[in-house]
Amino acid sequence: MTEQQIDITDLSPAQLQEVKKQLDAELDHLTNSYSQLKQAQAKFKACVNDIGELTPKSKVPKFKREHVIYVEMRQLMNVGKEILVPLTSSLYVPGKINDPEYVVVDVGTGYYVRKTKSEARQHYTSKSNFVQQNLETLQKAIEKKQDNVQSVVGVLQSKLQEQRQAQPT
Amino acid sequence: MVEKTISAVQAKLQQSSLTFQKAEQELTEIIEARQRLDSQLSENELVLQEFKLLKPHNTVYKLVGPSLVPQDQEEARTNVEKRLEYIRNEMLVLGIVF
Repeated sequence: MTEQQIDITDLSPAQLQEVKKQLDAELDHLTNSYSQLKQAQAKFKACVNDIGELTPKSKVPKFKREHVIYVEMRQLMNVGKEILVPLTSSLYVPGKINDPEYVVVDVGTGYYVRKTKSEARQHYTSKSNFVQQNLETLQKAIEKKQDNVQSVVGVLQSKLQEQRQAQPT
Repeated sequence: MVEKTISAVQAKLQQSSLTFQKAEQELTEIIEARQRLDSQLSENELVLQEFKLLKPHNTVYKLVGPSLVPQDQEEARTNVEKRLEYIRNEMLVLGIVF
C-alpha cells in the first residue's frame, strides 16, 4: 500500500469507484479472517470444556470400607471408565480410560505434548486469550476500514450529485 | 510509412504488456510464498514457546505418519529451532527478490 497522501476529493468518480472496490475487497478479507479466528477460538473453548467432561463431577465419596474406597477413588478419578474410541468417523471400538490424569495436546507442526489436565486447560485458555487479543485488534482494523469506505462513498455520492447538476437536463 | 510505425508501436506495446503480465505473475507467486512462510514461522514460534515451558513430565511426541512417536524434549526443541532458522533464511532470500 502506498503511503502517499491523496485527497479523495481530488479523484474522479471512476477513480473513486476503483478505490471503493479495493476497500471492499480489503474489508472482505478482514471480516473473513475475523470469522476464521472466531472459529479457532470456539475450538479452543470447546477443548477446555471437553477436558472438563473428562473430570468427574461426583463429590468425594464417603469412605466406609477399604475396598470401597479403592473402587470409589477409581471412579472418582475416572479410571477404567468406558469410552468409545473413534477409529474412523464411522467406526468405534470400546475402550477404558487407563490414565485419566494426562491428556495429549496438539501444539502444532506435528508435535504433541503429554500434559496433565489442568496444564492442558491452561494451555487452551491461554490460546483462546491469545486469539481474543488478535480478534480485538482485527475488530479495530475492520472499524477503521468501514470508516474509510463510508467516507469514500460519501465523497463519491456528492461528486455524482454535482455531475448531475452540472449536466443540463 | 505511418502504417509501419503503427505496427512497430503495436509490437512494442504487446511485448511490454507481456513483460508486465509476467512480472505481475511473479509478484503474486512471491507474495504467496511469503505468506506461506509467514504462517509457518508463526506456527513454529508458538511451538517453540510451548517447548520452553515444558516440565520433565511433559513427554513430547512427534507425529510420524499415523502414529505418535515419543521424542526427546531437547531434540524436539533443537529441531524446531533449526526449522525457524531455515524459514527465516528463506524469507531473507525472498526479501532480496522483492
